[in-house]
Amino acid sequence: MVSADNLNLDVLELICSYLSGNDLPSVALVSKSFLAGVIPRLYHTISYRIRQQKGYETGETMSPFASVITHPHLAVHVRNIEIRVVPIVKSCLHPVFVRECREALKICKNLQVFKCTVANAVAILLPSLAHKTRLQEATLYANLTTDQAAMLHKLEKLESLTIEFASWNVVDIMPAWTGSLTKTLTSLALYMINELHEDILKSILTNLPNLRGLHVVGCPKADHTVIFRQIVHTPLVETLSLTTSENTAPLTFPSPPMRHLKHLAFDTRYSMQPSPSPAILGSILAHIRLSAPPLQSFTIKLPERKVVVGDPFISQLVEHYGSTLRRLSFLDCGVSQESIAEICKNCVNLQRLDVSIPMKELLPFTRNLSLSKTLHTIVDVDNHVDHGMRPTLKQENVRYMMSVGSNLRKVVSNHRIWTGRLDPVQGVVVTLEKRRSHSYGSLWFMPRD
Amino acid sequence: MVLLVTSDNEQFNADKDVVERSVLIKNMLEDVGESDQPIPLPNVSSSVLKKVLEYCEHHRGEPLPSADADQSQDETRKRTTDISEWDQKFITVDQEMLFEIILAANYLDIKSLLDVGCKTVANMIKGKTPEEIRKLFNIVNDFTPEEEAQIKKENEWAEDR
Repeated sequence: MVSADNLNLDVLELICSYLSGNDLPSVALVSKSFLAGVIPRLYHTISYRIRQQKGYETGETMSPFASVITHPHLAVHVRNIEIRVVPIVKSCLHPVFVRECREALKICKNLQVFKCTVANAVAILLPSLAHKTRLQEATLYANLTTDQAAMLHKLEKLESLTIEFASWNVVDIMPAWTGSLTKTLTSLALYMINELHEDILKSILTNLPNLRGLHVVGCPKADHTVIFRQIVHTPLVETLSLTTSENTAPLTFPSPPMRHLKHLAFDTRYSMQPSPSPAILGSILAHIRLSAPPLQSFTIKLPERKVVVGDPFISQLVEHYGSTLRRLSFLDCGVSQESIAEICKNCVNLQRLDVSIPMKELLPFTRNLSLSKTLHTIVDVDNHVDHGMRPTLKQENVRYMMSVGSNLRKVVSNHRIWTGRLDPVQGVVVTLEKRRSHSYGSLWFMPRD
Repeated sequence: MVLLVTSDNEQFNADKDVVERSVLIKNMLEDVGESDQPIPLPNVSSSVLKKVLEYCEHHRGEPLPSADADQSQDETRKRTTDISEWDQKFITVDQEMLFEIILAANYLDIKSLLDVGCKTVANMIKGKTPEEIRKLFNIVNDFTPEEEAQIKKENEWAEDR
């Protein structure tokens, strides 16, 4: 008789390829054949975050890297490594952990994605990354010395690169390094880099005429005025993130061609009183308009939720891109109910809206959402401000939102995901599931699925 | 028409474009060329072949996946386990038949049917403890308690709590 136990390994591996999360370690414990079947999927992606480091120091838990060293045959399956946390001992990176990590990295020959956002860890791990011919994507916290920065030259086939908190030594080698990435690199993100000057950015972008994604955020010397002067070197850009400063210098004309732009994100600074930012944002939109790009998503982040994105800006955005926008995100900022109504009425293809759900104005908010026939998903982005003081969204609120909103089927708030389904008898049936910590650590402006 | 012979010696007649959803049979037909010779399928019983042909008949004419479809699929994302309504109904069978269909789809190389079967098994596994999975599929735990403890410790990092 045929049973699950005598399925061949290929089939078991295929079954496991459809599993994720907690199901993987569970399947590993079923039997020897199931363990063999789940290993490629289980070790495909290694994420080391706050949760994983618990109990490391006391020896209660093992690092995944220790498992890979103990069983070197696992290494061939590892495609993705993400290190968001390194255990600390006596205010230094835990030496045993770092050694395990370095040794494991060395033998993971098929590594495609490497992310390490821990200060001082990249320097130690970089030598193990050299000659990883399949490495396509890297995210690095790059506070490196000159010698350490020189090792970056060995990463030469990257398609996607994110550099965070880089020291001047790293900025210094960027022009030469990106020169060797001309053929492969299509996405570049530079985040929180004080030393990034316009002339360096210019040399970098001249090397990368094929760039599709460009993100320069939190770099004080590379604000919107700089980006719009230099983006002329990367005319194919589809995804653009930038910091808008309160620098009122006029944007250069003619405006650079941005015909392919689909996703736009603004990290907007707002400190002066009154701030020139609303006028600046308006002029940027007008500038981009000249290329008439088919904008599908727009994200804006302000310094605090008390600041409201101005109605005139939203009107301008909706007027220009109402027919193409599918996704809008308003992070750390307020949006007036008039604006929500205008968005829902005029963005005829809107599918997803990320906004702080106004608990005090839930009724008008819900009514305004119902003006959209296409809106499918609402994500409540307010998960740290007003903590505890704010009444939380309840299932009955969600059911009401879904029964009024004609196409609304998903509401996400904090760690909860509500999914709605239309039942011919009961009307909208809402189910709740807990969100896993998937997006933890990824930068807010980077495109996600 | 193509003549297929099962392990229990039953004969099935089916249209060429139906049986050619099986890459194995398609290759066999290409190798032998025009011929009336029956194709023996010693690994497939008549009850299973009947189901497989029902599936191929329903999906006839749909494009076949290319050989490198597996590579191009983004492995890092969570793969969907959604199954279409007809397929869902089709695959609602007892466990033995489910595994027979999976093995036959694997042997005959019918990728879409193999996927439907594997997704179904994956959906049965989801959310269950190791003991529940063993019980569900009637599997004997062949680990010693020490091995089990070791595996648990080595893979504990993957638990998403």
